[in-house]
Amino acid sequence: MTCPKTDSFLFQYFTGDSATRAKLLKEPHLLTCSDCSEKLSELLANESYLSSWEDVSVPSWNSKKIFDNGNSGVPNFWFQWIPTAACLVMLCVFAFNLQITDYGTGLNISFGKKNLEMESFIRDVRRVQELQLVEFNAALAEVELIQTQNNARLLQTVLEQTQLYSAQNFDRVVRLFDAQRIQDLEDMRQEYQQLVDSDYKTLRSLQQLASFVSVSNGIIQ
Amino acid sequence: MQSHNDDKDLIRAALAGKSASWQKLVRRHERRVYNHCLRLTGSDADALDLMQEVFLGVYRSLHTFRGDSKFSTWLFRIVHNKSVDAIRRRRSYRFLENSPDDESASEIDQFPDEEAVEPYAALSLTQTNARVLRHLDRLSYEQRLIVEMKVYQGMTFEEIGQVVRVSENTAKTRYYSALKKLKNLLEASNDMS
Ligand SMILES: [Zn+2]
Repeated sequence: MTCPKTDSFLFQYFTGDSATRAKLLKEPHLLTCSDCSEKLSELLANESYLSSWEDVSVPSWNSKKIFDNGNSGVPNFWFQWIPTAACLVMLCVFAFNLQITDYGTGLNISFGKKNLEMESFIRDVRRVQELQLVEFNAALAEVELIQTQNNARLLQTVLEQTQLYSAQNFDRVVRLFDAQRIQDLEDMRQEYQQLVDSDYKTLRSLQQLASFVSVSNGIIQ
Repeated sequence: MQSHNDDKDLIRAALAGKSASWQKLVRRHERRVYNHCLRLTGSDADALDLMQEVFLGVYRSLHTFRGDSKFSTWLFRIVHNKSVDAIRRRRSYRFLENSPDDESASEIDQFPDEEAVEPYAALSLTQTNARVLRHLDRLSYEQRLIVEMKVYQGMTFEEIGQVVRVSENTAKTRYYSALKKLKNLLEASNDMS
């Protein structure tokens, strides 16, 4: 004959905390019902059988390694954003013509217009070029003078050799020489202007490159 | 309660970069985790691998520990997740050869019993431990998990419910049915010997 209370009694016992278990052990029914007490001892033996597991010591291992690797492996929050920030700055530089210049005392950031320093640099270049042009003109005047003297001497020689004395012939030859001299001077002036223009373009692109490099350096630093 | 607070202090210090606190925290819990891993895998080497994986997981999510529950309960949730992952990856854990008779399908019961049974005698386990493992192996993973948490980790049914994400009553029912099944298994093995 099996007791109808056994299952619920055992369930209560094995799922209860230590206080509940102690209380149930004092139940009058348990003392009188052999069925319940027998099944209880069987399951208790099962629990203690499971508890017979002999704890094994942990083999040596390096838990510090996890900590060290974890700290070096997980990048700092701010460092993760460096590539994104760099891309954003580059976008600003190209999209809004942003210019950043280091004056030594601080940074100047400007949008969509030429940098002040750049403008003053261009003014300086122009001033130097004007100065050079004045010097060139002075030199040219000297060359003109020398050329005139030479031409006069040459004319004298030619006249002496060809013995052309007529005033009409003399006038024609002088005009010819003079036209040739003016043409030579004009050619020289044009060549010089071309040289100066190409120098100016080179200087301008060099300055733009230098300005871009300094902006990039600013970002990297 | 004291150790619960101590755990919290150690976690705070470890998160602040103190290596010694992390090591102390690990030392405090590694024995229970290692023995769990050993019962699960039945092999020293596999148990050590799994335990290291568990603590790596603990380290990575340490900042998410809010202290609402005991650290040991929180830790066992990671142990449980890592165990399931390990079993999914490597089907060689012996208990997979069981045919589950539990009321609901376990999250890993769906895996087929492909692997051959490795006798525990071949492993470096004591006779007692090998015998216990043989019986644990006959339980379904769900029953075994409850036995693990109740008998070996000393958790309450409420805590077990939190880890397995079932009600306290379901946890109780599973434990009771696991005990009854073990009783039958032990009787059968006693009859044979
Ligand atoms: Zn009874």
